[in-house]
Amino acid sequence: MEYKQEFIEIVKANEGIIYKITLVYADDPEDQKDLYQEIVYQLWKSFESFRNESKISTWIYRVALNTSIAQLNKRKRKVDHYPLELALHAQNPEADSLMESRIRRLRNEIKKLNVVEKGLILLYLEGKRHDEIAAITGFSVSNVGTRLGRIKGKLKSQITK
Amino acid sequence: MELDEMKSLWGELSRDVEKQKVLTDKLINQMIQQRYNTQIRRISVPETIGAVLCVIMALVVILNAAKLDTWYFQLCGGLAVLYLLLFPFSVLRSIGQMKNINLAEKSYKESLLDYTRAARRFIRIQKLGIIPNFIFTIIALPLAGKLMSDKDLFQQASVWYWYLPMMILFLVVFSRWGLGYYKKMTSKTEALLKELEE
Repeated sequence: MEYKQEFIEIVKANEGIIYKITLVYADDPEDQKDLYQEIVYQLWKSFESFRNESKISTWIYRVALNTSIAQLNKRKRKVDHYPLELALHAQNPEADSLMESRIRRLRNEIKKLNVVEKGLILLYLEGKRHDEIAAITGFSVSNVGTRLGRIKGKLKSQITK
Repeated sequence: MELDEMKSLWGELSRDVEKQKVLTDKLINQMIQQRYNTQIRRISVPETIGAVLCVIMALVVILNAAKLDTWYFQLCGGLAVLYLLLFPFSVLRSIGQMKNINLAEKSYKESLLDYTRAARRFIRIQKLGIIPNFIFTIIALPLAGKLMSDKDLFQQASVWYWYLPMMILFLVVFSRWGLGYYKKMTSKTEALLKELEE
């Protein structure tokens, strides 16, 4: 019981990471909910083998990103219903629509990137250093730098088109 | 949008996300339990039923092998048994491989490589499967006729006038659609592999 409670506390403390990853990889709210549930399940499955061998956030990013890849080509299915409300709500309707447009703009930009770039940009936006990104993704530190530079160029060229 | 603008937008989003806690102990418990049940159902039921049906059909052919009294029926019987046993074996094997994936041990790059290689393997198997699938559909009808009512449909020309053209049409349509899809998938996976190896 204590073991499960420890897991629950870790997931609750890091729910923002899971939410943002699902935002990047899922196409619509139903997919997002499905992916969110799958990530929590995969974290639970690997919790025993985790045993503080790496930083908690590194473990969460790794499992969540890998789960997102594994879900990429799975056929869409009906999601089991559970009362999870993933839409963010602000204090008032005006702020609410501002938040929605922010999410929409980010999603549109990220959709222009391929699956390799998506993972890298997400970690970069999360404020991870190049060496941390390298530890999570498996690319070398210099390769992470090169790839991020390329993504920067790609995003810039989209504006000038 | 430039990367810096994206970063500041992401920062604002992160602050909004941090303010709102949606998970509760009960909800996390529910999510784990529901997904566990769904996984078991999803993996075991359809594939197991399919595999069991194939094995039963193969057994029917084997147990009635004495009825296959000509060389061509014996050849059809042998090919059908091979197809019906290899098919569930390959499906169950791929399920086993999927179940053994540990998502916590691999890096993002390794998982992408695994995923791409698995997709490439899958496409290759699907391409190779077109011919056996076609042969099985051709031999299934005369074989069933022989085993169930001891009729030699190979000798009944009228059957082949409609059965063979129908099957060839099916093969042409299916193969064109299938190969086009596989070609698209192959170029996508090859591009991803190239990107990862850079």
